[in-house]
Amino acid sequence: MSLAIAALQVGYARQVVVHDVGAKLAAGTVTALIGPNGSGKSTLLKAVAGLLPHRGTVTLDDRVMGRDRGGAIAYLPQDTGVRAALTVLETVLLGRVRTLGLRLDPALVDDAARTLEGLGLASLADRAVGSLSGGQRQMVLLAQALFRAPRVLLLDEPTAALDLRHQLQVLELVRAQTSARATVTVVALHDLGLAARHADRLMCLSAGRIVAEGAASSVLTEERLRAVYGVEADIVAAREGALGVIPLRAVATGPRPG
Amino acid sequence: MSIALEHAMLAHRVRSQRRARRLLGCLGALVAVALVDLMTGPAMLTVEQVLDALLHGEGTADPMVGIIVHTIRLPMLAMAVIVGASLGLGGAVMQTILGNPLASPYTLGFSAAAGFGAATVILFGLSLPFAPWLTVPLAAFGATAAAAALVYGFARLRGATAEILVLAGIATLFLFQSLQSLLQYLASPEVLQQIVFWLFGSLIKASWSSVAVSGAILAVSLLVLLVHAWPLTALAFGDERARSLGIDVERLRVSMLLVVSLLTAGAVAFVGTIGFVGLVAPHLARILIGDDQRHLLPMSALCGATLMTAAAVVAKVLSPGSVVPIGIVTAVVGVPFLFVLIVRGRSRGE
Ligand SMILES: Nc1ncnc2c1ncn2[C@@H]1O[C@H](COP(=O)(O)OP(=O)(O)O)[C@@H](O)[C@H]1O
Ligand SMILES: [Mg+2]
Repeated sequence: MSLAIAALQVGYARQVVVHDVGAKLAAGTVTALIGPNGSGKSTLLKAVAGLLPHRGTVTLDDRVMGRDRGGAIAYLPQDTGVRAALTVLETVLLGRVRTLGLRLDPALVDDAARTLEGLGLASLADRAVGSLSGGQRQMVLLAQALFRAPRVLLLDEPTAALDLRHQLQVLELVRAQTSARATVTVVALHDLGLAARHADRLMCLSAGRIVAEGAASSVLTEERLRAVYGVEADIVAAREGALGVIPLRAVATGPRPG
Repeated sequence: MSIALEHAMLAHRVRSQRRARRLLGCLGALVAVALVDLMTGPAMLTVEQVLDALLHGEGTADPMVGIIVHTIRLPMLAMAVIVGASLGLGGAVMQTILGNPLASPYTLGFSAAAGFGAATVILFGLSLPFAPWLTVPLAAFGATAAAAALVYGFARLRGATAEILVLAGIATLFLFQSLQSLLQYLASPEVLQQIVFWLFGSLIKASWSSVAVSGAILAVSLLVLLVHAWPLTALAFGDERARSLGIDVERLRVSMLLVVSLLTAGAVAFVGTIGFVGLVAPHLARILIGDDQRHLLPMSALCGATLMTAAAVVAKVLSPGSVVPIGIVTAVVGVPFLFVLIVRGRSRGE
């Protein structure tokens, strides 16, 4: 079981933003999507989720998907604005909006509550989402995405507003669920150390093209960081085989700012 | 389950019960105001007289009371309840699909269109041969459909985003308001008075047949809306997120828009343009019960019906004998009420 992307090309009104992207992503693995601001990470994820028109095909289990992805693909957007007076529990329940009835199935409510508990959010279940901090809201929306139990999980910078402990917790949970449910997971991340530690593979996007993919040690090289990010950085081996990326200074030959 | 989770689930149950209690409470308030409405009029009745008339039909101790209650006051009350509920419901849906607290059936020009349709047939003295009483309502209905088609056309061309719909709606509003003014300018003084009276709205035109038509529209719309309660709730997360949850956002918006135009037409066709209830009732309901549409929709209908009935009572008390146009009373009573809501701030998430 796998997700295959072939010759994907996505653009907005005038300019093409993602060029000819192809990839094959195996079930049960987490792929980290890295790349500078404006390199097209969000655009690529939205296109795969069926939220943007695109050229090329997205194939799940040898079945080419139509415009409506049929609820198989969950996409967690980058921004976390919510303007509704809803509780956290209701927010999570909405993950399965297509199956909810006027009378809530108690088993479903239980399921949603357990998802919250898995993320350590049990005590927030009855709070209004609007009253949460940015980080808490990000966790709740992640819970919503996990509650869908999708075949393909696309997370757009899910740790952007989180503290160290929660970054760790979220990415560990995502990885555990990915292998337990044989999900195809792609996470856009800015923190390269986190990407190296928590993803099975890295995919590096630069100006809308994939310039490298594979294991962290092969993707994260000093030359590549210089070419893609325009940064001179030290890459150091840490404990337990983790990699640390220490940016030293910006170099002149950087990419255009995005 | 952890203790924290059990606490949260308990809080969730308490919240559900509180919402149910508030719905019941609002229903109780509606019944009470309705009773007062039946008692109020040129001939003031006691509670006993009203209850007696309700229980025994027209064969009450005092036949006069029976006639007053059954042929005069009950149809007007039923119409007030239906119109208030329709406008409250329409406003709630409008605010949800446009993500805009200022939205109401007024905002997209539906009411203005209805007024234009009515003014047209009044001005030209048109009348349907088989059912004269249906002429004005049908004209109002037709014009509302035209307004909905206009807004829908915009949406088809440019995508049914909230911004496009609000813009299209405001354009429609101005168009039909200007046309209305033109008709008023052309009308003779007597006809002008007729048009203005219709525009202000009055329950005096209520009859059992109009109650049946508007009531049927309300019932069907409420059902359709409740079926879409969860997708409507999901819209609160913004288009992109709702779409990523598997909802066809544009289609949902357009179909709900059609339901609102139907509701508006059903509400104003018989009694004239009554505004404001459609703006205030959803706000009140949201403060009482939150944004979960399964509860917000019925609550908005209940609040609308209660406000409308209360306005009817006030109108009768203010000018016993003559009929103050209820559209004016709803605005005069509603504006301070809205101010209070704004000043108190929105306590959200109940
Ligand atoms: N809605 C949009 N309309 C037009 N251009 C856009 C839109 N969203 C993003 N872009 C452009 O597409 C490029 C890629 O953006 P994005 O996919 O958001 O990058 P990333 O997520 O990697 O930071 C940027 O140059 C950005 O300006
Ligand atoms: Mg992005």
